[in-house]
Amino acid sequence: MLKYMRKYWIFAVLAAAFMIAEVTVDMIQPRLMADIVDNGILGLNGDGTPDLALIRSVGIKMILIVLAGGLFGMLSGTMANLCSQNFGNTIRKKCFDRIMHLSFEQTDAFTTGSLITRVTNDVSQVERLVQQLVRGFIRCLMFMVVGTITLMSLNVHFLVIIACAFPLVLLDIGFILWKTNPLFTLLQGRIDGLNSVIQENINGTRVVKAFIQEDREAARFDAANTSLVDTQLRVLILMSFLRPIMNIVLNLATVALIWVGAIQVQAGGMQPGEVMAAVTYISQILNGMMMLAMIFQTLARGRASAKRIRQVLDADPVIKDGTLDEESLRALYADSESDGSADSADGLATGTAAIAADYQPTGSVTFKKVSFTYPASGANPGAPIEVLSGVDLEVRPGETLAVIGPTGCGKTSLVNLIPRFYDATEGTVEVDGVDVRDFKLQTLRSKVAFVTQKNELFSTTIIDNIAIGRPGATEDEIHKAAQTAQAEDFILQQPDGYDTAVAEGGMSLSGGQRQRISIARALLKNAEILIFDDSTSALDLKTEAALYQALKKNYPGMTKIVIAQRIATARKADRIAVVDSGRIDAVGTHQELMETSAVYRDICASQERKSPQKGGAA
Amino acid sequence: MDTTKGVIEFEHVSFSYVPGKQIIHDFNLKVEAGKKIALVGSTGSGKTTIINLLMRFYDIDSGRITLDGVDIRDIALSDLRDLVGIVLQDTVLFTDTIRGNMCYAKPDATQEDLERAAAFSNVDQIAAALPEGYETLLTDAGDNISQGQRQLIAIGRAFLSHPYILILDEATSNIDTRTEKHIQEAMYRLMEGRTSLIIAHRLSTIQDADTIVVMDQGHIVESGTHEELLAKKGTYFDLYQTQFAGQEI
Amino acid sequence: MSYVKKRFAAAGGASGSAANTAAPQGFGRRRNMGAPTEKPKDGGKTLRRLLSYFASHRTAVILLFFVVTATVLLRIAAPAYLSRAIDAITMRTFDKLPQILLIMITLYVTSSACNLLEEYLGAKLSQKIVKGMRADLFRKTIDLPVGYLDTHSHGDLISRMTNDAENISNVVSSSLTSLFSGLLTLVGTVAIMLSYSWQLTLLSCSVIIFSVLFTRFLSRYIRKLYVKRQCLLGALNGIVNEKVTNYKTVTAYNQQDSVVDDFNGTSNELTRTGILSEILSSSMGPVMNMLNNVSFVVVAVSLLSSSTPSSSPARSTNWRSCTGRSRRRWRVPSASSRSWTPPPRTRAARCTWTPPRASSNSST
Repeated sequence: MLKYMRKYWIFAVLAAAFMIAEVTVDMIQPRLMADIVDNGILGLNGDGTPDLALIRSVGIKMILIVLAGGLFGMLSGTMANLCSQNFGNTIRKKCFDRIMHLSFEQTDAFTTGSLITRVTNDVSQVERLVQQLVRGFIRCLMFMVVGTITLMSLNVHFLVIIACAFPLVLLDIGFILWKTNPLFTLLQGRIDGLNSVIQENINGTRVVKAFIQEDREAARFDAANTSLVDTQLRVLILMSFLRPIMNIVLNLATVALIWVGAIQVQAGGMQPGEVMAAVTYISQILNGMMMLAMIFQTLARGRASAKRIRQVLDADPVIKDGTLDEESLRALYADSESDGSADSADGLATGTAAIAADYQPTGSVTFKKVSFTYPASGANPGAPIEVLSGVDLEVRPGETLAVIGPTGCGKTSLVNLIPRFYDATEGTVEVDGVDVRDFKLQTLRSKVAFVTQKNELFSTTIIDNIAIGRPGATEDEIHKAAQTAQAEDFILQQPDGYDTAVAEGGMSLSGGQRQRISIARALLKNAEILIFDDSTSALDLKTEAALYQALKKNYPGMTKIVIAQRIATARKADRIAVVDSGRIDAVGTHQELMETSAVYRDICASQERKSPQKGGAA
Repeated sequence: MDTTKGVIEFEHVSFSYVPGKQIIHDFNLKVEAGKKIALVGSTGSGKTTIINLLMRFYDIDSGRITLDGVDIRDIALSDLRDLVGIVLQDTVLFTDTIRGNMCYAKPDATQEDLERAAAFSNVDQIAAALPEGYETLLTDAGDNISQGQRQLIAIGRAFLSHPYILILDEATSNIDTRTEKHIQEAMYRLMEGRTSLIIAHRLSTIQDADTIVVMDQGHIVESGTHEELLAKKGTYFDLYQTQFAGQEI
Repeated sequence: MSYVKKRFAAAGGASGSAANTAAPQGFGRRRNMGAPTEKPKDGGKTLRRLLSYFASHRTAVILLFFVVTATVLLRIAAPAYLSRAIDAITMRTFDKLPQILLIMITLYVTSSACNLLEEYLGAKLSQKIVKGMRADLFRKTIDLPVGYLDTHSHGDLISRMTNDAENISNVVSSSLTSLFSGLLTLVGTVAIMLSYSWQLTLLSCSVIIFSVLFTRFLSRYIRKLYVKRQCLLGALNGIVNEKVTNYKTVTAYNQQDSVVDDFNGTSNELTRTGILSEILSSSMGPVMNMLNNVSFVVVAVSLLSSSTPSSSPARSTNWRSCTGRSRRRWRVPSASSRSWTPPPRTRAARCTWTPPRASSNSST
């Protein structure tokens, strides 16, 4: 993480330098003040009458010095802020960037609530840590070191007092930090917990209300809140011992100092004024100690936060990027077109060329002996269940393949493997004749337009939501996509048409409207392969029919993989794949399947039109 | 609450989410006690909004909605919502075990209650296939169970709350039709003599309803039984033809 | 910035919509950004609401007040004895010393004990208050009409319950005890100063008034920046929440980079605002320090011009103890030279060297 500091270390150095200047000025100034009091007001060096001229000249000097001190202080603060906040900004951005490139299983494992805390709260803690370190550490070190040295230069006997007091103070700091250190990681974890409860409640507010569980949720929140507050309180109470104990030790040191000073004065080894100065210096040392304690407190919390940020930054995406990008593939393709072989392609390693030898950018998808198991999560460590086993399936370029099967049979898992949302545990998935793991993720995903089952809309305008499909698309293209998705009619009825704002999660739109915007988004992408994961379930049949018709007309070349529940939807496809318990039961046309697949016949029977003669069939 | 019969009546109800953009205008509907009512209609015709209004997620702009003759605005929110079991279009499950999610509305449910509701909603089969069974932890975004299975759990949750009125808003959209049929049979047994409101696009889901209400642009276009509506050869007939005509689509 | 602007615009526009009319008032702190004219009224309301939380822990507050009073009295007394001890050394009356030192030890030990109790009570009170505040906010959130949640950023709401509440926690835990002790110290020192010289008091007070005015002037501006900063933090929360929730779509459309760009824009804006607000608030400390020291010179010079030059030695010692004591009183116990910092900030100044404003708010 420190490497992100590199750009800002100059601010840190400047902050420290200005801090040294400020502290130096702070240390000169008591002397001037003493000069004014002793020589000016009391006239100790003269005849005992106030020396107005001296007061004026020293006074002006002092004002100037004070002004300089203030200026240095401000500059030091400015530099420290520039350093810490820019550093914080950098890690915040890196952190979010990393989150946006993690694999699903990883973001799932972190949980949204925790990721939010890490990006905001934890980064702030680290910012604070840097700020305090840069400014405070130097300051308190100076106070302590200079204070100690001057104190000892006044009288060596004072060394004994300091030698006694220091270990006690360090012991105090050490003990409390040792006790509080583990609490800080716990504390940030508690904030995660609280975040998660709030997040779930806000997202699931309808269910909470419908089942009148407000009280229970409040109790759940209360539990999270209590555990957060309890942890925080434990930290605060432990910390509250820090200062009083240090105060006692250092104040007793002051008393001891006076006592030793008195003996020295009595013995004639010291002047009373020197004792006074010694008291001032020991208070400066005390000052430094207090700051040190505060720094250590911030350090403990900042370290816990830094660890949590590192966990994100160090998380390596499970889905590894491949090497083949559009350009290299195009070169290969052109090459294989012209002389029938790919191995002579310029600028490509022969290994890559071999991998891509079968590349045909036509939109074919092939599953070869694919098995898939969801990675075990921390929450459910039990033996993972195989979701897909030994799936062989070929989707031909340009064809429409419907996927049908019972709930939980693995339909979504099957299509999730195509854009590499997950990787197959066994076997290979090929797109355009190339193993999906060999593509650069960006290239692979640009070939696939995926409409998720749970519609994900963003809180921006409708047109922006569609334009995500292909940033830079013209308005005509967007309109064409919206028209094909049967979305334009209702969009134009919205208060601001395409510019109507969508509420978070698309809650301002009906389920079917959300689905159609998601479909329009996918169509705009104009990818080789279009995947509908049960994406027309909320559409009425008329709309759905119109959609498929327009799709055929406006986007004819696309390979379409459509997960469906309705036979009426499925039978419009070129072929239908029946999935049952993670296996491909049968593939064929409606007629073929009616003969060969018992599962398919059964599904059909469940949707048969109800004939008046048969009475209540359902 | 034992006196609840479950007569729902919408009287001249109008509503808009955004001023000037009315979603529901002058909506009138009476649901007799113990009947099964289906709402069908094109997307955006206001079906979910009707549910939102009945649950008082939003309040109507004019007119009134009554439950057994009492304006729902005069019923305590908790009483109103206590009577209703609802399965929403967007499945919401909490970070909890399957058991915890099923028993969400009835934290004191017994194992028998749980198993009965699970059998009705096919959740028993989901649990049986998972190594941790009912104790499997679900996460908000986790992919460890499918969307259809999530819907089944949400249905089981509503079943377990023993409602007087059951509302299913596209509750089975991601569930295959065979499982759906099974659940429907269970639901009919469960809701015997109680009112239920079903929104669905699959006509096979709703053709047994006592009354099918066809909506368009916030209005009721027609209503009646499956047979009556087919005989009318109106909007419903058209919808029905599209669904089962197959080839010409 | 564009994201936030949009959000402000959306929030402003939405406040008139039907969905929002049912939303309880007082939730719109952020909406004030769009309508700054409402601010003063809202500020008073916020303060009253904040005070009501203290009111519900009345006994703890009263107890704390007593403990703080004791601490402050002890803190004022200790330097007086320190002065006497020094005088004893100067006057070479060493036999008096053991007794003075014993009293000092007693004072220091009791003051530390009181200090411990004060911190303990302060921590407990602040956590209780923040807990209650958070619980109320959550209760309010789940009781909000669905329409409100449908039209407001969820991440922003989360931010209010965690980031903003934590800020309040920091402010409460640091400002309550310092408010008490600051007020008492002020009253105490003014009383002692009056007993020495009313002219000196008057002059010093004018400096205090000047610094209070200056603080007020500066803090009004800084507050605006802080509101904006918390707002941006909420926006940032909103982005993370939404994009992580919709991560599948973000990934499927290769939108990671543009999403990151959007985030970076808001993050940069947050940093800019943060730096500006921190720089301004952290310059308050040095400025106060400057005022303090300048005032010392001014006091010394003007007092001399007005006093008779024929001062007796006894009078001189009085001078000495007056200036010397007041100097030390403000220096030793506060472990910092920020004696002229306005009352509510004393504690912050005592425990950190960063200027009080910054320390109570920098935990964002």
